[in-house]
Amino acid sequence: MTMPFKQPRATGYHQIRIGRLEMRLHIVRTVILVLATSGLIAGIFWAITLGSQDILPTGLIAVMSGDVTLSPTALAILTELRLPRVVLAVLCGAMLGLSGASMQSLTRNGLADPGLLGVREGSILVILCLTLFGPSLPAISYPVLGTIGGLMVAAMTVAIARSTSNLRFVLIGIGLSWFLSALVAMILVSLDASDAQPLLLWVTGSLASATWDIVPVAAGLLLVNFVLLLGCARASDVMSLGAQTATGLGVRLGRTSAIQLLSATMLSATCVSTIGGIGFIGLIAPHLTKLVIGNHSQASVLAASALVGGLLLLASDTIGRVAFLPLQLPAGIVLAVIGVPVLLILLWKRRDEL
Amino acid sequence: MRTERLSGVHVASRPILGLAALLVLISTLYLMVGPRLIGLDSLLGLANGFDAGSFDHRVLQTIRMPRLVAALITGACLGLSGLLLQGLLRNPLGEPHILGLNAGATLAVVVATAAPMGLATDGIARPLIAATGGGLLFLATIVFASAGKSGMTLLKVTFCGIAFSALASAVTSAILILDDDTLDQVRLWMVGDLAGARMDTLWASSWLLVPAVIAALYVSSCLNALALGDDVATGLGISVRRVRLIGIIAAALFCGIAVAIAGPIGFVGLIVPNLVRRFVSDYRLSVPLVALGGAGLLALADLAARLVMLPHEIPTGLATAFVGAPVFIILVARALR
Amino acid sequence: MIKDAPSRDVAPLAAEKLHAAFRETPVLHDISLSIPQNRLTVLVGPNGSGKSTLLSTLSRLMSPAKGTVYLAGKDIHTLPTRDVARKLGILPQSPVLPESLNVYDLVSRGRYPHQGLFRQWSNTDEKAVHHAMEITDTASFAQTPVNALSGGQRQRCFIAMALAQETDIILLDEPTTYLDLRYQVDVMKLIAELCRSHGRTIVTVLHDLNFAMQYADHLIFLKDGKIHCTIDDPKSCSANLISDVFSTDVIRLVDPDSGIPVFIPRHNAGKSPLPSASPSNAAPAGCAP
Repeated sequence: MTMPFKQPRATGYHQIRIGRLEMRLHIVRTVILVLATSGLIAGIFWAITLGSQDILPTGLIAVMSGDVTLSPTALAILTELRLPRVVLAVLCGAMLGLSGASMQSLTRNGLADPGLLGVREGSILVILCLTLFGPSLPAISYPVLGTIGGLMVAAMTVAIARSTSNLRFVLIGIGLSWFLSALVAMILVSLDASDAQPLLLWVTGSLASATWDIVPVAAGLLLVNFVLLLGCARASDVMSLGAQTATGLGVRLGRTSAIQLLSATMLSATCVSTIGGIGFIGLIAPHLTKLVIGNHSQASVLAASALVGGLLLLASDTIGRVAFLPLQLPAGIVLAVIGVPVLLILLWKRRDEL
Repeated sequence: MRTERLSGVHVASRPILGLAALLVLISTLYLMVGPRLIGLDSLLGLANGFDAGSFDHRVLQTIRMPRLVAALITGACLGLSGLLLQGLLRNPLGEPHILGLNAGATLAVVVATAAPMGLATDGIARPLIAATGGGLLFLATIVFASAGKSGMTLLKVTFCGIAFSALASAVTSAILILDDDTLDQVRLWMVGDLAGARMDTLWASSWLLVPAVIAALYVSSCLNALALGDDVATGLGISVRRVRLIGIIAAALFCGIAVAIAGPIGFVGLIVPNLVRRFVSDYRLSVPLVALGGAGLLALADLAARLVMLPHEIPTGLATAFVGAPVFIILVARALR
Repeated sequence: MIKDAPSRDVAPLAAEKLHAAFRETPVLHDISLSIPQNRLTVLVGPNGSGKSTLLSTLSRLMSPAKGTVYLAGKDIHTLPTRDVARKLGILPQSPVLPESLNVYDLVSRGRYPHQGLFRQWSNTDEKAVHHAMEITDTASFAQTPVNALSGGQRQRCFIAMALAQETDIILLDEPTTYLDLRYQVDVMKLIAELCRSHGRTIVTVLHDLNFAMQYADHLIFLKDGKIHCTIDDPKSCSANLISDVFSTDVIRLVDPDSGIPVFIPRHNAGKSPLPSASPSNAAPAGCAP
């Protein structure tokens, strides 16, 4: 019995060919990704209409079609405050989602997240010291040096735990993050109250001071790392079958793991250097993604985690901005209130194995 | 580990007396050292009678002695809470901070302070509210952690505790950001610092210490058997469920007292019981040792916190975290092979 | 040396003076062997004799402390791992299985060594996957999650993945352990067919001696990390050889249908042996040449 090949209905894949590139797309997953992207873009447009000042009473469409012109103040609020904040939320959320997906694939541990593992605190510490004691450096150097700090913590965690695949690894990461947090707190305590206040806000994670000049840095690093991770995606799929099988199939384990770790840390450090320490997205975005599209293809998981991460941070920041007017709640707190129950549900689902 | 035979009182009293002596030493140091060094003669002079004219005596009477007493009592409570949790759960990582009791206690006090009905948050109500909050959050942790075929593993309990702590902290932060008045009232206390220790709570809590200590002594006599496993303990005639219930209430009470006085301070309950139990395997003997050890450790930590970054003072909770987190890491690396 | 032999005589897989250790303990001592092409070679021996270590070393999963492994005449550790993966496939003893992975996706992963950045998936890959699923008779549950299948079906899926890799040589580490007897036979028949009808060279570690006897074309007996004996015809195995390797007294019976020997432990040590009317017991001890 010979089976004809190229059966999209049976396997769900469709073969495509673009010039030299031969690949296949999963129809259902691709559709979901396209829908999610549209949802995100729609979300962006909606989020900029919300805020403490009612500057778009007639709606965004009227403004865009030229029927209504905004006052210079309103325009300024829109383009200098809200738009960069919304865009940055999406970019940083995407970075954190990617970072979590990469980390979880690398450690084969569904509870891995750079925030949970002290990697974020390592970046915070390095960047904090730089800001306070270092010379004034170009904007790109903060994410880069933050990455180095994060990588050192990751290396420490792996060295102490000597196994990345279980909860022990996560607990040691948590212990390291406590230690580094205490260090950061000590530094902050030694400052004067006026100096400490904005830094404290940054440490807990806030998009309040988003400006346009960090957006290119964030976008650029997001793109670079996304491409890197996509390149590793097929290898990472094979690596999920275990180190022995993967080696048997010709995967270069060391190189792939190194790229995944480097990317995850760089993404997390970039976020930290732009908006401070926000947690949970790296943890829950990949899981929410896998609930919908499954764990079949790392490429899809990466793309979708980025989209879900962006949506999550956008939603949290917007809720924090408008739900408690005139007060503003930092996105980090909203995320924690959403994130911990999700975390507990994850734990519940794995309750038999842990 | 040397096993102490309790039939010989003289055998048991040696480590207790030793620790007590150490505690006296630490306390003396605590009173003497600070931004203003106070000599031993002033100290002894105070014992003879308070001299209102002496600046040293005034510093001692109004600042250092109360703070020392707060440190000793808080430290003892934290240590005992940790000891009970470790014994009841057979988990070396049992500790009021890690398992969510601290965060729950803090949340309860903040909610009570913010509540529009104006719940009494002074005097004896405070530690009771704190204890209730801590106990409830801890119960949630245990319920979650015991789900599933593998039951209540070490890993799950610890991780659930951390998760629930995070949730409670986030909600607490949210309330404080949204309600300025409450923030003003609790700001000094919330950081976990003996500098903001509530002395009124301290005196009121002393009444609660009595039942808590009695419960602890009762539970500790059963913990030796419980350490061998639930089945073995039941076979030895111990009502496991009752011991657990009383033990958790006692642990929550101790934690509630500590948090009510000085805010959430972590890691003392982790370090001291683990250290003591390396040498002493009998829980009954461990109780006084941990109480003394906890008191001494927190006093030392507070001393360090006051001195390490002069002229700034760091919160006591920071000093304990700085030392405690590495201890946590070492314990995890060792206990969860 | 094997690599100096004329090319048409180059063994597909060979080892020379191999010494290997597992976590500081030396396991293999001075192993030299050559795997015959298009045959089913089985490694047998007692626990701790180094069978799995030998397989891991042959497949380059482990580096030897001394000695060389030759893949088609070249030192396997000097070859890029992807090239090796195109010639040699491995099925480890307990492969990791991510949850909810379906059969089709699992088998597809086997195509990895043949793909690249621009050739991520082509018709060749599709054909290979379907062919592999046909041979292993797993096509009928292609969309089912692998961990919902029975042990035997699951093992066939993994073999399908190794087949999709389209390698000449396949190494299997104890593919039948933990399986019911019915599935053990299933899997062994499949493996034997791969050799005979599909021209593969297969090396497998088997725990069950009698299974090895039934299906092997070529037997390598390991004891204490050394090759005790190599046998090209299972029928020539003697009871003394088996007793020697496994350090236990056995008697030799013969399967009336196939003529292949079956070894069972002697019932009472010290009792007189079965009537030596059976010529097999009188076969020479030690290795047949």
